[in-house]
Amino acid sequence: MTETPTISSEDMAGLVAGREALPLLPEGAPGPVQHAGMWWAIPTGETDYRPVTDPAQIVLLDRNTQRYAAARVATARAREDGGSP
Amino acid sequence: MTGALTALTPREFAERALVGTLLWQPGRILDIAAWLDAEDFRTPANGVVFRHLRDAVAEACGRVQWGTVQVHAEGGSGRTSGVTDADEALRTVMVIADNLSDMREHPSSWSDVDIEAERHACADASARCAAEHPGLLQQLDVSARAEIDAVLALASVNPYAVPGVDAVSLFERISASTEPGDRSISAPFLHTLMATAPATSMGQPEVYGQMVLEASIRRQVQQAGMRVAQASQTTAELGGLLAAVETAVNDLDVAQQRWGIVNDGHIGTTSVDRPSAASLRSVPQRVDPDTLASRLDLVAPMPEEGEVATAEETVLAAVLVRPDTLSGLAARLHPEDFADDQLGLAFRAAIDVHTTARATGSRVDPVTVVWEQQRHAAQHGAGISVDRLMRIVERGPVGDLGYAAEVVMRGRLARLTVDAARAVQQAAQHPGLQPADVLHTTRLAYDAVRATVTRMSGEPSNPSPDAGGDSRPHEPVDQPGGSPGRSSAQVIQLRQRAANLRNAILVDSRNAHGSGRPVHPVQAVPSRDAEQHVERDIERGMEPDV
Repeated sequence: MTETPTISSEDMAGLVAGREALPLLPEGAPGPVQHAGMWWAIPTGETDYRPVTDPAQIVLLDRNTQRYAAARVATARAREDGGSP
Repeated sequence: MTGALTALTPREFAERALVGTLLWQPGRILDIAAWLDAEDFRTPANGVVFRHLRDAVAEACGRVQWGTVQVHAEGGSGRTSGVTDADEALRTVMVIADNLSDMREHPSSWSDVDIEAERHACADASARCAAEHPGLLQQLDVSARAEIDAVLALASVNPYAVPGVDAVSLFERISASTEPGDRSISAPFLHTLMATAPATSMGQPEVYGQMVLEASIRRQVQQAGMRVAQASQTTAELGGLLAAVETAVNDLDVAQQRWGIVNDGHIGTTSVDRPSAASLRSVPQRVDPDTLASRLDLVAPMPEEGEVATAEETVLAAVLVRPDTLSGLAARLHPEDFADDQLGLAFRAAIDVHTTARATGSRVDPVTVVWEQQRHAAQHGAGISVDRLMRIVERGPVGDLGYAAEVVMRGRLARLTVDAARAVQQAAQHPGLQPADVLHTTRLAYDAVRATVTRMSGEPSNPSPDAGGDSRPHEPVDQPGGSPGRSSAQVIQLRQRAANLRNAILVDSRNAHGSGRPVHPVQAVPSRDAEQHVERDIERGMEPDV
């Protein structure tokens, strides 16, 4: 039986800094992070990152990633337009 | 910035600023609504306004082409405007025109908010006037029409205005809504939102929306069982309050040590200072904001009285509609947390019914709750009336149960802290108390706050092996049934046994009367002394002994 891989919060912060991992939110670790084609998160009460395997959690993270990206695009567009139409 | 606004947390400020800005510039909402939901707002009232504004603008978009303010002579169907009289509509336009004229002549005497409000109101009133009474504006004399033209030119400064969508029409729309949560929105609340928003030229609704979304995602991630950073939550109102309590307790430790050294040469030798072994075991641990953050919103502002009242009714309505929620809720929220004693007693009765449901076969509903409440009326008080309970049930829960429960808990903490401070002050000013007494009183008061916070956070607090894991060592709590150490179910069983015993006494005395046996004075009536004896045993947590 293979053991679940883990990444420490510090290592994940390094991966985020090196752009090898993409965090969901701007503050990065210890929040959820996309790395190596999958979501990683620290379960409540633990200290290390583990792959997210729960389909419901993956849907939640994917949907919020899309929404947050759309929000960033809208903010950037408003900034370019100077707040005018 | 007003004094009221300084109490806002960053999250609440962002929510209000977003909705307030969109009330000024409703045309910007559709782009934001593509990625922000009403459910993303932490405060339900802000989400309600966002939802109605979004829907109103979407409907308006289906009626007219907008993008700049357009006064059009046709259409107007489907509007919910209260302006139906031609003269009134015209008068409204003229009054606003006068105001705007005055603004141009005396700009320094008008605030940005006032100017924006007048521009917005004028655009809307003119649009309604033109749409509902075509040709009316042409009846004005030349000077008046020139004034209105100037007004409309000013109004066109706001390119995001949507004809027919403003604070007034939005309030009418929300008031007409049948959703229970929508009825809590008042006109002053909308005004407050608009006043909170930065000036229109400065507003950044997309940026505020992104903040609201970020906060919502953090909550969702936490609720899904994943850790998330709390870095942005440093200016907590509740967190600040708890930090003040911790500081006070630390100061208290130092004071107690110094007092012990000065008076006895070593620490804590007076009988008052020396805690008992039981109290040492049950002293609540230090409140850790990081631990609590996942269970209690430490960045939320202290709730206002009206907000607490609404939240308490929501909690009660919710548990009556969905009794299964009591299983998780009762561990964190206790009857004494309610500011309204009647609602607290009803909540206590609901817990008792729910706890004993398996044994008694009855489940929580308004009837069983009122019945249970009546059974303990002599002990706890009359409780809520049937009429009021039914009104609460008919109105239904207002918003989310979790949010409402948290508002109740935050309200309790605020009151408890104020009470603790008052108790400390009174003890300090009492001429008959020694310093050791004052320190002891202070310790008890602050430990009560700590214990309550720990319980509400859902974290276990120093379970005492002797106390059966009771995590409420210093809380001023009345145990259900008034018997410390016994569960509600046990108390109910004991009461049932006591009732059976009373009946046995009654039957025995009647038989004695019927048989002609001499009746002892104590047995001549269902012995009041015996009853009291049984009650005393129950109150002491003992088996009734007759």
